[in-house]
Amino acid sequence: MRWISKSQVRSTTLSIFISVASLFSTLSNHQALAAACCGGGVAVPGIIVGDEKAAFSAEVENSQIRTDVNSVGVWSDRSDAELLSNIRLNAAHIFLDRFQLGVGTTIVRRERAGQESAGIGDSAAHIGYEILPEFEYSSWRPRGVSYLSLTVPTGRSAQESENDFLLDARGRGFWAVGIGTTLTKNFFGKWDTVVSIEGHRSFSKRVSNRSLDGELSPGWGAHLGLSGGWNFGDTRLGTGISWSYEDAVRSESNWVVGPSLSSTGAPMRIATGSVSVSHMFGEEWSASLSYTDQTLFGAPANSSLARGLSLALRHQIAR
Amino acid sequence: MKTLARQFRIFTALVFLAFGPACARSNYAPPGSGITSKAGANGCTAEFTNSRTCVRMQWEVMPTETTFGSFVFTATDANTALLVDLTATQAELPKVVLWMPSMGHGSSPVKVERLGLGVYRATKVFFNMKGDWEIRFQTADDKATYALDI
Repeated sequence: MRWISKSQVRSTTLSIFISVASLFSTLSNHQALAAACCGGGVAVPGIIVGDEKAAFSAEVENSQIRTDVNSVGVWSDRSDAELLSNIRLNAAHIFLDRFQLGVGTTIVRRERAGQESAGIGDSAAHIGYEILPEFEYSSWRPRGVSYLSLTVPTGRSAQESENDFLLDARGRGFWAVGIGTTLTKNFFGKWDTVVSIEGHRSFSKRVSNRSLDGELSPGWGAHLGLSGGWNFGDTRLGTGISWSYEDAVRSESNWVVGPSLSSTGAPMRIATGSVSVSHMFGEEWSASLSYTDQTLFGAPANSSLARGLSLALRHQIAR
Repeated sequence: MKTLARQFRIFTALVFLAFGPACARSNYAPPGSGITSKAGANGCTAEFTNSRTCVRMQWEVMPTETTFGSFVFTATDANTALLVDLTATQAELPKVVLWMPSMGHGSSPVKVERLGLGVYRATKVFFNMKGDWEIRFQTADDKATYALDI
């Protein structure tokens, strides 16, 4: 029988919590990415940053969109809020000791003014490498995973929507490749921090629907996420903030016949604040309850702002 | 228990210190601003680029966040101020496109009917979100744009 010391158990619990924290840090990033009228349908790579061999997570989120911000940052409240429900599924697995592969997708349901639409949002995959492993304790050196991500536009974009309220827009709708790093550090066995930074490039696509026939050209985007947690026993109280930016989507189109309808678009900015409570149920299961709010921080522009509650379950398999 | 309470206080203080400066300042539009327009040269709502035909529009039913609206628009020659048809034949109709330039997407298709010489009605007018919009009047070879904030 292998004896596990109390400090080893503590370290494993913290490591798993940090993975959960990292997942939420990334989640709130990508939620923000999708917030500009597209219903939060972007899938998230569920990156493993702890000692797990594999991790699977499912998250149910319900949020409400009541505020829109225009391209110059002027806010306006809707008299009729939109309800948004997301189910996010993620899986990741370690291979060759320090590499990992992950996939994720989202199922989105949107409801407004008595109409509703549901379907799959964007999907994502990532390949990661542990650039800063933690072979021995360091008081200052963080643990870090870098990754390349691919977003697959399985969700329809706002530009391709056929619904009066854009309810069938469930993602950004563009192929995108990204590169990112997640750094984690725990202090004194009680505190943890997660820093997540990511940049991506989305690619042009041709669109032909009832309102436009032409090409949409998105650009670069970036995210920065910061979060911290306080751990006591098998429970973690965490909070975080993430900032997201997307270049303008330029459109060049003709509508059936007639002169070119082009527009240069406007960039999107948004910040998402979150608080969460996580709890470990043994070494293989954990659950998190989170509140996210996009009306509290930053200087948002060209986006809708959501507030929501989510519940996530995560199953992890230790190495 | 005392240690936990102390740690919780430290955690709360750190959160306020870290995130306090990032707080958003909500910049709401003045109440009752509704739909505001940016066009209006020569008394025209919009002017066709090539033919210099002047378009004037009048709302019949204002669209809301959840219901369709309609408007009547007229086309007049910029020099003679006489009503003129926008298309070569009465069977053809000009198109009206609602376009959100900052987002790069439109709204549901607008239905246009001809009421008489140079007079048209646009129905099913709906802006699916708040922000900057354009009402684009189109013929096969010409266009006029009316910019407005919703």
